[in-house]
Formats: sequence, C-alpha cells, structure tokens
Amino acid sequence: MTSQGFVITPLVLLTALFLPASAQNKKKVKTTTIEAVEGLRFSPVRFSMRQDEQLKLKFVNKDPNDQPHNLAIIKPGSLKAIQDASLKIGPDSIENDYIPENDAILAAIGLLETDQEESLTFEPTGKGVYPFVCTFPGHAAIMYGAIYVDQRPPKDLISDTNIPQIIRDQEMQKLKESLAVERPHVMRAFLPNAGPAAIAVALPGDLNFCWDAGTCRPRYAWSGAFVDPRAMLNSNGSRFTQILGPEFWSAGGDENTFGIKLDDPKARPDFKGYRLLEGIPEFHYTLGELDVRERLYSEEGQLRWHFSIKGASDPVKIYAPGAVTTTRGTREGDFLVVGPKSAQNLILTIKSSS
Amino acid sequence: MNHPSFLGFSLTVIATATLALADHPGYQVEAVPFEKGIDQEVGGIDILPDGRLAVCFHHGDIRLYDPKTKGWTVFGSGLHEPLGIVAESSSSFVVMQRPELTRISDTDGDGKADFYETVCDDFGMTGNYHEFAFGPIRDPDGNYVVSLNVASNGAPVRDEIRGEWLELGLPREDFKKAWGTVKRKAGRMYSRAPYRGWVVKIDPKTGEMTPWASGFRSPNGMGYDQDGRLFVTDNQGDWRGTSPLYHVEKGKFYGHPASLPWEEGYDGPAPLEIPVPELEKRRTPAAVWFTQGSMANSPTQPILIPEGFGPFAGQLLVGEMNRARIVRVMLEEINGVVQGACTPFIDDSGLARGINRLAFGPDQTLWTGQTHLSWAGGEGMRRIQWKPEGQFQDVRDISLKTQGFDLEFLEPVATADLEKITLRRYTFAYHSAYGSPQKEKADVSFEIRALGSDQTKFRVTTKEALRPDFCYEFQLPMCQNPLLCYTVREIP
Repeated sequence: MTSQGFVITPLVLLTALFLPASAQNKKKVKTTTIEAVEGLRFSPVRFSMRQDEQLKLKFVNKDPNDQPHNLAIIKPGSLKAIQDASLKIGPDSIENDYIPENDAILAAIGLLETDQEESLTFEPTGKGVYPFVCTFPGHAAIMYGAIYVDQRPPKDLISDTNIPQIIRDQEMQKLKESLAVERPHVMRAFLPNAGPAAIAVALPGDLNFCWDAGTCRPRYAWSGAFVDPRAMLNSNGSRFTQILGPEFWSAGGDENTFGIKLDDPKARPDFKGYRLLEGIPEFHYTLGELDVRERLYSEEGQLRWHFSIKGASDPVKIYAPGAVTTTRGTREGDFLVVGPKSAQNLILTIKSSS
Repeated sequence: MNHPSFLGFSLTVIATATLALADHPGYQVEAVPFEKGIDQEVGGIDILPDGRLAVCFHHGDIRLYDPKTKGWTVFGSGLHEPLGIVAESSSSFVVMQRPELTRISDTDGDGKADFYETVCDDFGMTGNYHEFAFGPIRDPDGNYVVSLNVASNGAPVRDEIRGEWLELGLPREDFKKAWGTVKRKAGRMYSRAPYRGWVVKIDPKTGEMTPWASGFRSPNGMGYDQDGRLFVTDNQGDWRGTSPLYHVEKGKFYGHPASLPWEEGYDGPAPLEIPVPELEKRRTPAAVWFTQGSMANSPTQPILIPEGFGPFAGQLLVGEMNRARIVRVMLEEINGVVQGACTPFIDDSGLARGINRLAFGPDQTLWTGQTHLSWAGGEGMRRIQWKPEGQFQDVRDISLKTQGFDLEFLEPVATADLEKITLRRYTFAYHSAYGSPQKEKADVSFEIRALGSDQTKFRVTTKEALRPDFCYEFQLPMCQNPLLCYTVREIP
C-alpha cells in the first residue's frame, strides 16, 4: 500500500483508450472534477450523467499523504475483475502507470502526484453504473466510485452498494451521531406497531421503549440507538419515525397484552399526561377505579417498570407472561397478582438480555 | 440533522434581501434570527405577559424568544406536530399536538417544562397523516377552541386507531386492502374517527369537550374579531370551490359532509350519499371567498388588527401559505349575515411564503411564523411594524349597497384614476370534486361618483343587479394592493 520503493516514471497520459464511433457527433458535455482525497477516497464518490452526454472529467490528486493515484473508468459490472487484476500487476507495469491491460477499462488517467491534475473525455455506451477506480497497488479494494448513467442512484450513500463499504459505514456513523439524543429524552411521534398517540423514550444505558398514550401501556423496548424521525418530519406525517435498535421485548398485540387487567373488559384507560422525574416520564392514567402512575427506567442494564397503583380494593392482576419478574405478589400462570398495598409501590423487571 | 428544507430557507433569505427595494411604504418587515441548522417550521406563536414569544415548532420544541436580546431558549420538547400555543402564564402553555391538547408547565422553576398534563384527548385518531389538530385559541369565556382536520384518501387508516370507528359506507376491511383500488369510494377527505371535521370547545379546567360546529375540511386557522365572533379558514378542495373564511356559530354546518355522521343521533346515509341539494340547504356558506390563484390558495390564521398598527384597526389579517402575502379582510353584517371583502395587505416586501401563524405583541408588533410541512410554504419568522410616517394608497373599507359598493380610500383619488378601475364577477361551484373554476364570469359595468368633497369616498353603482353568492373582483390600479374581492351573500 505504500509507494515507497517504486520509481515513479514521468506521467503517461492515457486519455480515451476507447472512443465510440459516435464521438464525432456533437454531444452535450458534462463536466465533473473528481479529487483523490485523504484516506484512499474519491470525492465525490458518485455522480450522474446521461448516456447521450460526453463526460469531461478532471482528476486532481489532493491526497495530503503524498500518495500517487490513477483513475480508470471501467465497464459496468467489472469492478471485481479489475480489483483482482490490480492485485496481480507488479512493478513491471510501472510504465503503464499500474493500469492493468484489460478490456473492461474504458478510459483512464495515469498516476498523478499530489496537486497534479489531468483530464479525460468519456462517452458511455449505454445506461448503467460505470465504476471508476484507482488501480495503484493496494488501492482498488477501497478506492472507487460510481458514475450513474441514466440510472437513479439510491437516495443516500448508506444504501448505495456501488460505493465502498467504508464510506457507507462512515455515513452511517455520521447519521447515528446526528440522530443521537441526550438521554433521557422523550419524543411524541408516529411509531410503528403502536397506536397513533405514541411516545418514544430514550433512557440512559442505551435502552429505549415505546409507550402508547391511547392504550396507556408500554408496547415494546429496544436497545442501542434511539429513533430516526427524518422520514416523518420531512413528510407531512405520512411516514413513520423509525426505530433504530434491536427490539428485546414486546408487550404483544391487542388481546394478550402486558398490563393491568380489570374484570370489566370494557374499561378503557384515560391518559392524564406525564411528569418528568430526572428527565424520565412518569405516566399517569386512570383505569376503572384505579389511579395509575408508571415509570420505566434503566438500572443495571435492565428495564425496570415501576407502578404506583392507587384506588384498588382487591388484588390487582397484571398480565405479564415470560420475561417479566417482580419481587412482590404471586404469579398465577401468565398473571402477576399483587395486593392493593403492594400495588402502590411495585417494580417489575423486563429482561433486556435475550 | 440535515433537512433538505433548510436549503429552501436560505433561498428565502436571499429572496428577502433582493426584495428590499420593494418595501411596503407603510410597514417594516424584518427577519427573526435563528441559530443555523435549527428547525424553523412554526406551528404556533403566543406572547408572554413580559413580551417574550412562545413558539412551537414542527420538530416538537417549544422555544421562547426575547425580542430585546434576540435570543432563544428551549422550554420543552418532544411534541407531536404542535400547531398552536396559548401562554397561560410565563411558565405554563397549552399546546395542541396531534394526539392531545396538553398543558406544559415548569413546576420547579428551572425554566424548563417538567409537567405535560393532558387537557383533552377525547377526539379520535385513525393515524391518517392528514388528521392535523389546529388551535387552540381561547373564546371570550376562556374556553379552548380546537379544529380537527379530516383524513385524506392519499392514505388509508392505521390498524390501530384511537377512539371509535365509524362503520358507515366503505367497510373498515376496505381500508386495509389495496387502498389504491378503493380509495375513491372513501371520499377525497373522510372522517372515520370522532369529531374529525369539527370545531370543538374544551373547558380549560375539566377538559370536557363540546362539539361546536361541523362541515370542515382542513381548517388551519381560527380567530375572534372584536365583537367576539369566531372566524375559521379552510382550504380549497372537495366541497371547497375556493378557500373560504367562515363565520362559525354553534351547531351550524359548514359544507364538508364527511363530518356529519358525528352529529348526535345521526341516522342518515354515508356522507357521499347525501343529496347535494340537501347539503346546500343545510350549509352556511363562506363569509369571504379567497379567490384561488389570485388572492390565496391556502389561507391560515385570521387575527384581529389592534389599534396602533395603522389605518385598519378592527379588521382581520389572514396568513397565506403559497406566496409571501398577508391578506386583509373587511367584514360587515347585512340582513344578519356576516360577509365582506378581502385584499392583499402586504405582498413580498420582506415577507416569506408559508405564513402559518400570526401574533400581535403588546407594542403592536406583528409576528409571523412560517411552515410548509412538505407542501408549498416557507420557514422562519418575521417581525412587522407600522411606519406611521409612511403614506400609501389602499381601500380602507368597503360596504355593500343595494346596487353597488361604497369604497373608502386612505388617500384622495384623482378623478382621472377612477376610469382605471375595473370590476368583474364570478362564482364557485359547491361539489365533491376538488376545487372549482370561476363560473359565470362577466365584466360588470358601473358608474362611480364621489361621496363628500375630499375624494376619498366613492359610490360604485353597478348597471346589472348584484347577485348573491357571487364574488365581485375590483382592480384598483392606484392602490398598493390593486386586487379587492367582495363576496356577496345578502344584499341590503
């Protein structure tokens, strides 16, 4: 990966190795500058043009690390072959500026030292994604980009498989940083798998949950990054805010769902709002005769679910199968049964490591 | 977060700068500074007792702005599409967000909200994106007034909804199937959860909700005039030939039938099956039409002009989304019906498009807040002040007569200029299709003569008899704003 030890010959300019017959026709010229930048990258890493245009591409080596770079535009679908070919060319190909002899190479610019520049012209022979790549030894695996000819590139770099994975990863990292919130954090939003009145909460310790203000209960919890609200915010609300981390717990659907169960099946909760206690919401609602406050928080890597249920004259039944444990009450099948007094200060634990 | 709309904002700023040459002679417009990269889509503005502004934003923040320091502080966050705010004190605000009317308070005195109390969530949500909730404003008795948008057939409903489902007409199952094939049967805009398409009142203490008036489509703007009358704007679309301003009274129906099944004891057919003549009979038509294409395409909040803001005190201003314009409304009561005229108030002159909310400060400063929600519009805020020394020509007021109109100008009009005035009329259809062209268009011949000797008051006498339910459109080239439209309902 280093250029030391090689003797760099004067530049051999290899403009269009391949000129289609139509080159004489007067075509609209598309002018673009591509720079080689630090970290074995082309910038921009992709651009678009039309197949009836002629590309006038200026290539500038701006790599501050004194790395020489070349640039070859190659046939759609031939990236892997050229990457492999670039591994096989040795010092004897110096005269060819490390550009392999290969039919897939459509146009190329030879090695440039830092701050040197050269241009080429290129006319695509059809629509498709034409890679451009640096074939200097060791560079081709990560130093390439894409020309979209009459083809729409994916909206963001993250999902573009025609550009290097390292750039996609960096974009993903940038996105995560831009979406990171100071925890704890509360965000009302249209969320998937919940009613339309939903609340997303980010807790310290990278735990997150969705609480439904329509049915007054937590719906699911996930770990890691919080949410990506851009789709919802950049539309008029016609798209959901996206959950970013893996779900580790779900309260289930409408019928068999976690939460307080009254004998009266018609009883509906009434959402009273929430108070922020150290930034974490304590939700308040009534359900039948019950006055309930519940607060989900993180402790020792676990998601705790604190209840303060008042107004109960009989034991309170909480449907809580599986991964939910408590120190109080008794388990009756899928239900936890808690006496009225214990229900006033009850902590459940939702296992987050599964 | 990098939103493409920020580009739109920077373009707006550039446009503002280049338009400085065309400043309004009577009003000064300046942009309110924002931190770079911050959400500037305004859902609501109110003024605190100390003169600061409370503003709620698209991304869910409530931020406070101090005009003295030009600084912003965050008060609360995490709200879901807040579209209106009322300051109950300097530390407590009532905000209409999509799912609830919420009182948001700082109870520990640290300047940040810590208590989000539900005032009312007794209305339904199907999760359809178009079910916006507008308001609140306060009625003269202190109740909160809220308007609830109907759903759009651009999308179906969610599997899980909040509140009751209306099983009438298109069955719920159809809302889950391939929506594209059945959506036309739902109506362009539909109401399948309670009180969608209604204006409701909410008791500030108990939170009790009273359905107040029905027949609305996308009522993004409410305000009271100086006589305590409620006015609500709506947007051109189905059953809206052009965008209207309604004078809203309890129990009345304002023309969009989707909301009717939520009337107490309703046993009629599905809204689209109600014969149009029956709807015609029931509906209260617009007090003012905003002519689509020339006056306003998406009118927003009406607000009463106070004393000290120029020559139009007592009239209403209305925001407009599609161009950099504020519209002025002049009303009168004829045969017990409120009706009147509209004209641009300020065009461009430093305004932005997308004026969604307006608020007057205690110093008679007008603040505007812009939004777009991915439709036409803009971002940011403007501050508008009257320049008492600035002279300009406009119609101060207009009044309908049996055979024409009395016009009162701000400045004398030269007799030669009177000949340049033109008048034409047209009407709009009431139907389920989206919008209406101008119908039965015709030029109207008239005579004009001065009333009194100062050349500011004139009587326009039309040669044809005035026709109810027509819009009469003046072109007054001597005015700052030549376009003026009077919507005739009753004739004295």
